[in-house]
Amino acid sequence: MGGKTGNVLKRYLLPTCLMCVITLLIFLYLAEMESLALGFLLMAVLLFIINVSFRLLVSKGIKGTSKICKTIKGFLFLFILLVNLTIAFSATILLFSNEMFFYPNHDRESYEENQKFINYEEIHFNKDNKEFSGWLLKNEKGRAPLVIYFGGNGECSARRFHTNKKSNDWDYFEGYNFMMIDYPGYGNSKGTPSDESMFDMALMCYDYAITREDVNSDNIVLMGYSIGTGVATYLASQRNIRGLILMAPYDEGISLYNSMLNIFHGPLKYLVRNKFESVKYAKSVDIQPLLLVSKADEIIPYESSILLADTFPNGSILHSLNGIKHNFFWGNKEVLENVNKYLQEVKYE
Amino acid sequence: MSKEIRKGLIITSIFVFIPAWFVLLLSTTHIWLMLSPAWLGILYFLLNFLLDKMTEYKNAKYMKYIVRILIAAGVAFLLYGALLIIRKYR
Repeated sequence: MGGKTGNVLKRYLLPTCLMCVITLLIFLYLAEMESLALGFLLMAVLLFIINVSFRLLVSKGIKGTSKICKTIKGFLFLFILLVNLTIAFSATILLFSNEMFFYPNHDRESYEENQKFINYEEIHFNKDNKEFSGWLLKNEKGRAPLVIYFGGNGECSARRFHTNKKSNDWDYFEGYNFMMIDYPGYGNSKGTPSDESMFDMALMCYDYAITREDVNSDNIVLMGYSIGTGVATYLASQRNIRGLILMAPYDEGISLYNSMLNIFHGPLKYLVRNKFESVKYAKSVDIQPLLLVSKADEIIPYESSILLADTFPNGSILHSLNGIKHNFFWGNKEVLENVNKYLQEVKYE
Repeated sequence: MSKEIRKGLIITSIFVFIPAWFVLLLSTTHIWLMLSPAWLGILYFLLNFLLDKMTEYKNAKYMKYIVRILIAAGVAFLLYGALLIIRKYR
């Protein structure tokens, strides 16, 4: 009976496994994870070639049935399992890191609400076949200083503008216009989010802003929150700005990955695709930024923020907050008062 | 199919199947979708067993593969439909 069951298992195991794999890959493809499905397909082809070649080599190379031959075969089998495991694990992390990392979203209700306000302007611009959109708050008439804001991972411009209006956070940006463009794949912006695409978008955003008649290009302040601090720091290293405000900043993208899945240490660091090397870019920033960091931040380790603060060549204004969790920087009076103070200080009259 | 190709295919499909399941586990919060590889495995196993018992199907060499692929693809579309419904009413 046991032998019969074993035969049945052997007979149907392969078609069952293959059907499951086909179903999962097609499902991932349909569920807007095309790159992941295609990546897995390529991985399957690679593993198949490795496994079949290995089996052919073993069966032709080691023909004996002695104990030593069996032991060698056993070790080689373990080795090939390890190779399979390493390839499968590395490929999964590499392929899944983008899906795991970014949360592209759009808030249609807030978007509709924002249309009602006369001092809100919806912005669209195209460059190199890339389409971006976002919002501009016009606090001042004529040419005015501008804050270009880069939001957190789950933030879209429509919701940020709607929330700031409701909570009166705009009061702290007196004398400044405020612009937020959605990252690729977020809001109405097209594309796929990644560190490179976000950096490109940031450069385009700045270049677009300085061409506007209502923007005083000598008075541009960059502001970033969470993942956006990396984008703001990069832009600050590439363009002329008056100030830089970083809320919950990090030294490198690896810190963010580790806050989600704490495995990216040692050689596994090389599996991180979105490096967001803020420390590298901070070295080329020639102004003194304001850093708002919290010891209670559960996403960005405090040490990571401090490491970044120490990297700016002209020093930084570091403000440590107590008891503020990662998602509560906006709306916090202490944070916004510091932002307001810094904005008034750096304003070029 | 030679023994080498057969065994190579089994190991390959297992090492693609596990990460794909891992991704599925992290992508959805719905228990039936999260567990789908488990119940799909049992379902496909029984299906293959039943199909193999059908005399006409047994003799249709290439038909077997086509039917299996079509069933697998069909189930993927059903799962996607379920995902859309879950997202809509969440």
